[in-house]
Amino acid sequence: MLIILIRTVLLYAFVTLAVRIMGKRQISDMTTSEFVITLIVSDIAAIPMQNTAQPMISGLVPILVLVAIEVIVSVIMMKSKKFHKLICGNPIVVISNGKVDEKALSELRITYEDLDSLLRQQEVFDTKDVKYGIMETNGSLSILKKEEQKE
Amino acid sequence: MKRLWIAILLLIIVGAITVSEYIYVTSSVQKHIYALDEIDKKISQNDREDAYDMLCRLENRFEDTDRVFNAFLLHSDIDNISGNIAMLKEYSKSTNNAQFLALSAKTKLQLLSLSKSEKPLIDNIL
Repeated sequence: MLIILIRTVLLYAFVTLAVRIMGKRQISDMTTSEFVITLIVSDIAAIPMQNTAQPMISGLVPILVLVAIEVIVSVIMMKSKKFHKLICGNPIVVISNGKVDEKALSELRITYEDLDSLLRQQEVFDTKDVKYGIMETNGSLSILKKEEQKE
Repeated sequence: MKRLWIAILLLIIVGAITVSEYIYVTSSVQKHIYALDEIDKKISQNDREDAYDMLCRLENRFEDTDRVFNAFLLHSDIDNISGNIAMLKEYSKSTNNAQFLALSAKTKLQLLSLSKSEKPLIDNIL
């Protein structure tokens, strides 16, 4: 148990360092790959924490590699729009001049109820009040209200 | 950009550690297997005293490599091999060569699987 205690402390410090290297972002602002890597890192760290028969390095190496790859990928995404599009996709217009684009919704596998919920979170209760509604690559909805609604 | 250099440095360090570990495990395993082959010859010639001394030396050498192995490989695999070497020491005192040679063959296969499992082959990756 003492080994588990020591490993937990070490791995906690290590994962904190790894997340620090990846950079500061809120979960809602993470790209898909960053979010996936954050989840995987925490899962990988848990394995040698609980299983002392497994060497600790079997957790450290994949975490280091994932963090390094994530940083390199994010730098490449900054430099290359094509690569950014490949990894993150494009934002999609779901509402245009108050009208909901059903094709866009089905492409995103979002129901009307989901869309209404996202709009309500932005204090919009009618799609007719929206000039443009854009589903961002991180799953959030950005809206531009019609001029008369902005007052 | 600083993070990029840190990321590249991390990859280089991890690459160096994993390559060094692979080389160390492979070469240590080869030495241990060679030692077991020599011990098998001694047992086949009924030279049990020499075989026992060589097994004691092998046990000490394996304990030295044990620490590094335990840092990189599954502890249960290493413990099994240590246990087998301890059993071989006792079997070397008996006149049953077949028993000794059977366990020695098993131990060699276990050692070989340590180095095989570290090779970056398609079957291992998948």
